[in-house]
Amino acid sequence: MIELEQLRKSFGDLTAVDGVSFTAQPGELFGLLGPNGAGKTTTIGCISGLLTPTAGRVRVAGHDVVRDGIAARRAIGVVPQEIALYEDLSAMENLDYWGGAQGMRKPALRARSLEVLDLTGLADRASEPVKRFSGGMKRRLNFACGILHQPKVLLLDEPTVGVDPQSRVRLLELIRAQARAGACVLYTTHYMEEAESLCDRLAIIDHGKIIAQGTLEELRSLLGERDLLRLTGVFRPEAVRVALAAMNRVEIVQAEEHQISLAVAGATSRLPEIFAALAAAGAEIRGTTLTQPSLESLFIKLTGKELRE
Amino acid sequence: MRFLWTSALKDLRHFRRDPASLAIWLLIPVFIITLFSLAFGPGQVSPQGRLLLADEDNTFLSSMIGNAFSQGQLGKMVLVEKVKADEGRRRIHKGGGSAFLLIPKGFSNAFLNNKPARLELLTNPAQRILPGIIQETLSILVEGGFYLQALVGDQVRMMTAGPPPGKSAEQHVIDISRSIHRVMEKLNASIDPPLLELESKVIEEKLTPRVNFGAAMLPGILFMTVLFLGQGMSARVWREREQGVLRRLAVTPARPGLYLGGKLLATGLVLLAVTTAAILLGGWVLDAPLTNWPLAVLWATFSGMAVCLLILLVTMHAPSARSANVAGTLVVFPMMMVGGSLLPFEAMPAGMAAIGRWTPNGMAIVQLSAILTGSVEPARLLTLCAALVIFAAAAGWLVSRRLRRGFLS
Repeated sequence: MIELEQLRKSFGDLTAVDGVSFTAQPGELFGLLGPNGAGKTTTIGCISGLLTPTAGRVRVAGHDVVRDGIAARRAIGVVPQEIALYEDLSAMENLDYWGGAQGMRKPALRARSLEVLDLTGLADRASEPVKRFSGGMKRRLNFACGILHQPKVLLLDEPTVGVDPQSRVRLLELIRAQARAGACVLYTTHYMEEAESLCDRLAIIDHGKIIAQGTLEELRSLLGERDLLRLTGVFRPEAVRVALAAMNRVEIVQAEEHQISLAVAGATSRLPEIFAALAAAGAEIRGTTLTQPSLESLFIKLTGKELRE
Repeated sequence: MRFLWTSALKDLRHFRRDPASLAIWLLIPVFIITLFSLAFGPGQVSPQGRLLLADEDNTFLSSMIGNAFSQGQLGKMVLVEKVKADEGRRRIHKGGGSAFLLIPKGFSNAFLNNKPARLELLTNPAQRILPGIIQETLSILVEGGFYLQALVGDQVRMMTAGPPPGKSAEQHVIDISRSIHRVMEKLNASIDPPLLELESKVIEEKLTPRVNFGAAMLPGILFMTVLFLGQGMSARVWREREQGVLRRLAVTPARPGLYLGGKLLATGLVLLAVTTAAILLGGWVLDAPLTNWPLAVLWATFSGMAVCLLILLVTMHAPSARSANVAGTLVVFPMMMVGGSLLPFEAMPAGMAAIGRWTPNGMAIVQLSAILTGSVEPARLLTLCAALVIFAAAAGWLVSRRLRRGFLS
């Protein structure tokens, strides 16, 4: 179980995480979504004990990560964003080392190493130096090192970055299996589709603050099941606001000189009506993108920008 | 504590997987020792000084003084160079010799006529041993001259003056010989037979054996490998930091001190193997002395680990991997130059050697040489061992603190 209460982490004048609170239960896959620099990695750093919180409280499996750090770290498995492996050692030697760091002893460690190598599809490459592995294989071994000691809490910091589709599917399956086995999994990503398909609950973080959290359904309901319509061209924002104000169930998410975003119920059937209103407001439309309700559209609605920006 | 061995095993595996780095660290010193041995030859290492001699008297007696410094063992240690008085003074003031000796004009005449005679000796304060030897030799010559003057001064004066008028040269020589003979007979009453009965006893020679150039270089060369190993260890720590493995380690229950201990243990084991091989090979190939070689191996290993820890301590406080590399080079190369790894202390200018002997690797090299040649002072060695333990504890604590405070994350 992970409990965060008003977590704050500052680096000098910069506040990377500001008043973040959430709870993730055993067996739950909790997603932490946000663009690069939103504060996801800093949050994971505070939970894992790598960084000391400036304020607030973090408890992992019932242990305070500051006061009872070693007990908390025993319960944690971390799969970092970077491939933190010894490349000139073999997969088995890496597992020996990281298992040793977790306090595992030889017979049990060897048996568990073989098990995770099998799980990650690396059993036949166990004695090969990691530097000969593909990017996807390294990612899988990176994951294997994190789950080797069967942690109660698994922290995954964008574990699928730069992974080929085949390895990504395999990794996501492995992550689900960890949650099914009872681990509390915290998953950070900026891939919306992954979060949508994987997580039981989600928190959206931006500029170090949680701007929304709940189940996928709860978050979607914030959009009101409306489509997101993005138009590019030349617009006069004030004229656009006036023109669309009278239209029923059309909400302006963003209005700028070269782009506007609208949340519209049943947008497909209402496109001619919207185009006509915009043309009357002097707009010149050059491109149209229609997005069904999703976390992506929710994120745009909440922050006014795309997740990958 | 089990993680200590796990960590050491990981680093030993690195050495096994990357034999090229280890080979380079070993081969560079071997290459240098071979080159130096070829350049300097297999001869004995003897310090050679230079005596600048200005002989303004230019007589048989004055030339005998110059020749006295060129005889026997002294001749191997002191090179006599004849110079003009002004040149000699100028050069000795610039440190261009061990000593300058001026024999003024009229010296022989004054000496033979039992008048005050003056020799001028200027020594180089930057050198310690050879000027002392020259001064001592000159004192013996002057003292010998005094006794010669007291015993047979009249006869020598008669010889130089030549036969008086009306006396044949043959008769003159006979008279002088008879006179000397009478002096010797008087002396014999005092010195022959000896009044003291001497008991001769052979005492085991305790002098430090002299070694050839390659063997003299061996301890220094060994510590060159130590310095390279230390720099390599530091580079590896930074590489591990950049790979993110140290960040990952920081979120495990393993203590950073054990990670560091494992790294030192692995380096120590490599050092143990390298020093054992180097010292035994040195004895076999270079004819280096092998007195107390197991103690020498232990000393080289533990003092080498301390030197590696020192390099790690310096480089880990650098702000980045690149600056750590620069800091490592700035530490290692001066230590190598001054600390007796590139040149034995005996071949260095005295000032530089004095500084070098106080560098960490210099102190270790001096003791290693002493252990190997059997001239080690146990009390000093014990003191240094205690200092080594205190330093290692302090440096280990500082490095662990740096690991905990920001280096890992």
